[in-house]
Amino acid sequence: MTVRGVRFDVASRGAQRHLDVERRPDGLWVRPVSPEMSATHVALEPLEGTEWWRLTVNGTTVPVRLRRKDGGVHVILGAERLDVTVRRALPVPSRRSAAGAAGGHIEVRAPMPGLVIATPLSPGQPVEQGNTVAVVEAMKMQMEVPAPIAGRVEEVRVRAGQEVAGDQILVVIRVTPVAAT
Amino acid sequence: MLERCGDKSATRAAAAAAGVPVLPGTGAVTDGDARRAAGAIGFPLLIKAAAGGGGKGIHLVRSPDELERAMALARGEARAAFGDDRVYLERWLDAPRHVEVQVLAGSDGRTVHLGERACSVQRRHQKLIEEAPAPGLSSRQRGRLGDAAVAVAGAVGYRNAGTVEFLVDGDDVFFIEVNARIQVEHPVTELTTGIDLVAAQLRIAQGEPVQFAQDAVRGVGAAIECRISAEDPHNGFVPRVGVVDGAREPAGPGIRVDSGLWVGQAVSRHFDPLLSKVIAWAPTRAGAIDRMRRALAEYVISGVDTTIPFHFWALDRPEFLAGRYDVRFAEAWGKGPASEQATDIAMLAAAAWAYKGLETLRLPVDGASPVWVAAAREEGVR
Repeated sequence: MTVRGVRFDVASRGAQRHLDVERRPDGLWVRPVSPEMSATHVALEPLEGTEWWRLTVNGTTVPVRLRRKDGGVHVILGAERLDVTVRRALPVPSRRSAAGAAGGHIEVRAPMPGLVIATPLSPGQPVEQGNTVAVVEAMKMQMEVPAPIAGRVEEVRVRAGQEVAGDQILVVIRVTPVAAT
Repeated sequence: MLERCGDKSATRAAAAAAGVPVLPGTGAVTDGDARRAAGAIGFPLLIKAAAGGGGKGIHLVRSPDELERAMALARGEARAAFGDDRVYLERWLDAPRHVEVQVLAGSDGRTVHLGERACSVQRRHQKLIEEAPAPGLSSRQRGRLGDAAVAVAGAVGYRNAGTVEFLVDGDDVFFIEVNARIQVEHPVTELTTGIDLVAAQLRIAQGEPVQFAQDAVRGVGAAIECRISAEDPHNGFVPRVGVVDGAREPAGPGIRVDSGLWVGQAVSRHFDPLLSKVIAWAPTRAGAIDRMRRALAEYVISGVDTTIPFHFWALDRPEFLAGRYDVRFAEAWGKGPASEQATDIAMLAAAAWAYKGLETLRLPVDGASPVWVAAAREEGVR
């Protein structure tokens, strides 16, 4: 079992990007969801004992300081200082969800180990892509787990107050079949 | 000697008497004389502490109605900082270059100069980047500066290593003051001339003459110094106190680091925020700038903000690269448009960091860890 690609909504200085981060055998790749940017090989190595990292983007290495600040990331890079907000977005569709798009089931999994705070939907309810299907708390942060695709809630496998492991199935969604065109 | 050179109005008078051009100005003035003297000099002008140094006690006065209040402020600062409230007035140039000449004056009075340094990259009248030789000077100007520096040292009877400071405004060169000490920026002269200035100073103090003649002094290549201070350059260069909790210093060909930095060091408000100096030498100025960029990219200081981001900016400015910059250079810092490329790269870094954070929470990572490692980690995050 590996960590699949994760999509982040990233914003800084008025610019917004959806970035898919994925680990491949040769390291991390960041793929902008917008088509004008190609996939970028990113290496982020810690400089032990410091808040600085050695960031290599497409073969060029620069030092970068990363510090958590107000729920975002405070970045010093070269001459620039900027605040970046990073939010987990919808999971990258996997092969399983590609199958789901043909009318199967999607398992929505916990993004990390934590405590389930809420499961707002009940079996049988319709769900839109992006609707929150569960709220999980870890490291004093509450994360809303969104539905990766539209459909109908088939099963809710956890309840509020329950501890869950990372990748544990929270909710199963029956996917609305895509109308043939 | 310190008294003589520390009294700036007296050194001005001595320099002028030796035929060295000085900025129009006064000796120490009383409040009563200031208005008439200011009228003769013209506005804008500076009020400076006669016993001053390090940029303290300097006030800019743009018009006659600001004079009285600025005089009172300058006197108060001078009294607090130097225990001497005498001040003098001096013409203010809008955008001059700050150039200084290193001199060595032996115990016999024979004085040589070791060429000039450009020190125009300043904030709060304090230097951030210095280089030797000064770019953008004609050989005639260089010769005049060297001759003038030796003449000033002679006029005040100087004995020691010291620096004679000038303002260069177009073709004009004006003497401003003598710094009777080894300066922070002395390494750029050491690297271009190969002369150890601290050793030379000690020999003079032992009563020796300077061991070499003027025509034996040769400047080779170019050297640049960047001052690394515990200040937040993105926040008006406000000094930052804290503890240095991590540090890695650069090295490599042509790189010298003069540093008082160690992990665990407290940066307190009781001392100057200067942490270290990076000096880069290369056969050409462009080469020295390249080496400096590389060295700064290697430099990691964690725990306090530093002036390193400012240096990255400065070393990429077209006017700096062209060697055409003046004392107002640093005013443009932080005023330009944000770099889109930096924004993109910062967003990539933030996303990669967030992903790595998830990886350490999710188990197992990559399927590569042995089961017991995964179990231990899982235990650890519970």
